[in-house]
Amino acid sequence: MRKFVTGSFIFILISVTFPSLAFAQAGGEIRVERITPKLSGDSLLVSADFKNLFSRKIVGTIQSGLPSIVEIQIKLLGGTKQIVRKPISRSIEFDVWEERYVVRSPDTTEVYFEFEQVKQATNRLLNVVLISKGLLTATQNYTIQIRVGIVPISAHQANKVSYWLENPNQSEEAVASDNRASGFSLNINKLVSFFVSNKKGSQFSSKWFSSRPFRLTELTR
Amino acid sequence: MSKSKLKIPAVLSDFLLAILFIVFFLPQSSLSQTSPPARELIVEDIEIVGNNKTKRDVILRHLNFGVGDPIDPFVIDINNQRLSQTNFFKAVQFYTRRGSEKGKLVVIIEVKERRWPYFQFEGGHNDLDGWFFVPASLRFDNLFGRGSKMGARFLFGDRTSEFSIFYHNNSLFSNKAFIDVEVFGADQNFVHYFESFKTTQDVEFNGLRLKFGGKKGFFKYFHVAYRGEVYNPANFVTGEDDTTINVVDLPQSSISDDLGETRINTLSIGLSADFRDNLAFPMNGFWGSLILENASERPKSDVKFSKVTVDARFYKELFNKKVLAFHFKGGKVDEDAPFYERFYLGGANSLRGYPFSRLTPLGGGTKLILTNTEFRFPLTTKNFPYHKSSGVVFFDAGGIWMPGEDPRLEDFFASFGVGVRVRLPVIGVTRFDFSFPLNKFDENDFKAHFSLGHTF
Repeated sequence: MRKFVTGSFIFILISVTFPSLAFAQAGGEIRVERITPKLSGDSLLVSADFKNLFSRKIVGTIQSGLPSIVEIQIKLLGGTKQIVRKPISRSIEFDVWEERYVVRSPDTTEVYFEFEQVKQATNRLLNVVLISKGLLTATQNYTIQIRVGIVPISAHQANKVSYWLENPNQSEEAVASDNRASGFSLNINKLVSFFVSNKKGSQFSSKWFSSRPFRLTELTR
Repeated sequence: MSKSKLKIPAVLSDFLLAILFIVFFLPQSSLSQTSPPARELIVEDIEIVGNNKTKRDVILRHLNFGVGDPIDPFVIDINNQRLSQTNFFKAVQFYTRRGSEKGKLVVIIEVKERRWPYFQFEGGHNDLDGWFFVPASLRFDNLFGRGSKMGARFLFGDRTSEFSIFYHNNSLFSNKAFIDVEVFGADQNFVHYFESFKTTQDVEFNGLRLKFGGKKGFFKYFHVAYRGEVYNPANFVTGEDDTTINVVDLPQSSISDDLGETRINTLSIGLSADFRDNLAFPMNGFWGSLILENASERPKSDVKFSKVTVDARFYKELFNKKVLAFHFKGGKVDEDAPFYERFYLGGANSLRGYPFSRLTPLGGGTKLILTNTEFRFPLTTKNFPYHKSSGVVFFDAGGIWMPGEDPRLEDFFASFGVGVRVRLPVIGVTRFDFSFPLNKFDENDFKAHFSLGHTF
């Protein structure tokens, strides 16, 4: 029996040499432009513009009445070292009965009646406080990196790849006579695609865009 | 060996009583419907894009909503998970667009199909196999776009190695029934204790397993199964110090009676129901399973026996996500059943506080009662019920009896303890239990268990 089992294992190993598939998403068209740092009072602020955030599919989803979420990630780097990372999230929801759009941030709620107004409000990042100036060095070179994404319908869809890593399929017995079993399974193809595709922009997310390097002394107030 | 066979009619009556019990004690909450809110979005149509191979009805049957149903982001999330977990697709994305009138919408499901088989690494623990891992199983899911699954896997374990080929069709008779087929060859070490001396006996077996069950209406609670296997136990046992002892030199028991190649053919009927409110951390509900198995002349079996096993779990939220969970497992098998068909007691997934199978009489038990009672409380709440950690206080009690013995309360073993469950990336819920046996065995007064998943 052991010979049979060993032979079977060799069969499996040969089969594993089939080319694994890496499933990268199609390149994203969403872009971040004009990343502009600025000093105001005691803080370093940043502004930026977003392009192509609202595809036809996203607009259709929002106008059907289900919310979409704009997720923005901002990083301040000193050389190659990350100084601060700031996530910003905005939800966009269309009330199909009242025919109005509601854009919610953690601290504000805005109401619009035209989708063009929604685009103008969410396509721009304006004077977001990044860090206190006192925590930075005047002569150090800094860079700001920003990526933006939009999640149709809910936050979970964007995280579904990491979801199965965090919550793998744990098996359990199906009937009383089975042995009490618990275990995990890890899809190797998914793991490969996770590491390959995670570095790139996806259909609904931009890649990282960088500002030009700057020093505090060069910034306008 | 005394002959006290189970009477089939008696077993059948137990079976019917259990059906009545399950049907009448279903949690009422699982049957009740909540009235929908006044303003809700309704699905007018479902469009599927990108399914060149996969049949539309294969995708639709994995959804838990349909045309005319209300929909919200939570429903979309759940169904995105359901489709993603089929492994039929490389990517699944849901969109919507306005329907023909206010409040109606069209759901668009865009899929990228998987065209090649995929490989899966698995690991885990079960009581008879011990710890195991599957270096790579080869899976052909979604055969011919009809949602059937086929695969081969090789399992390595500290007590088991196995190679199996399986086939699963989930859409027989217009999606009303399923069938599972598995052909396998395995090698397993069974644990026997002689007083406190632990030994293992190697048993080779191979065969075919078939399971056929319903998916809809009343029949979704039932399945029938066939098992045709050939067992070949080694004629010696091996001690922990690598000494080998010929089985015929051991005290008279089922072990020495069961040497030689034995063909076992069984037919079984099963009833199972799952009314848990969620699988990750059940707070209310019931899971139950009852199996009646018979090995007899038809189909021809070298040994003839009947076996009944019942397993029931109840969950009740006491307050603020603090849950009282109770598990009962009972079983009875004819004394003619060989040791590898009998029951065991003790271990991380059985009666904690004792090593695996430590409470099992030599040759295995023919009657079993096991209860586990747990008070469960989340230690973190973010992402509940997929939260990072939870704590447990538990009490286990159970007994196991040899042929001719009747269950008595004074034969019960018990233990109590505390534990933590931590959700780790890739592996999932990992369990640490610290258990104190109330019946001293081998001078052990404390036992730590490490396993995967919740106990039940």
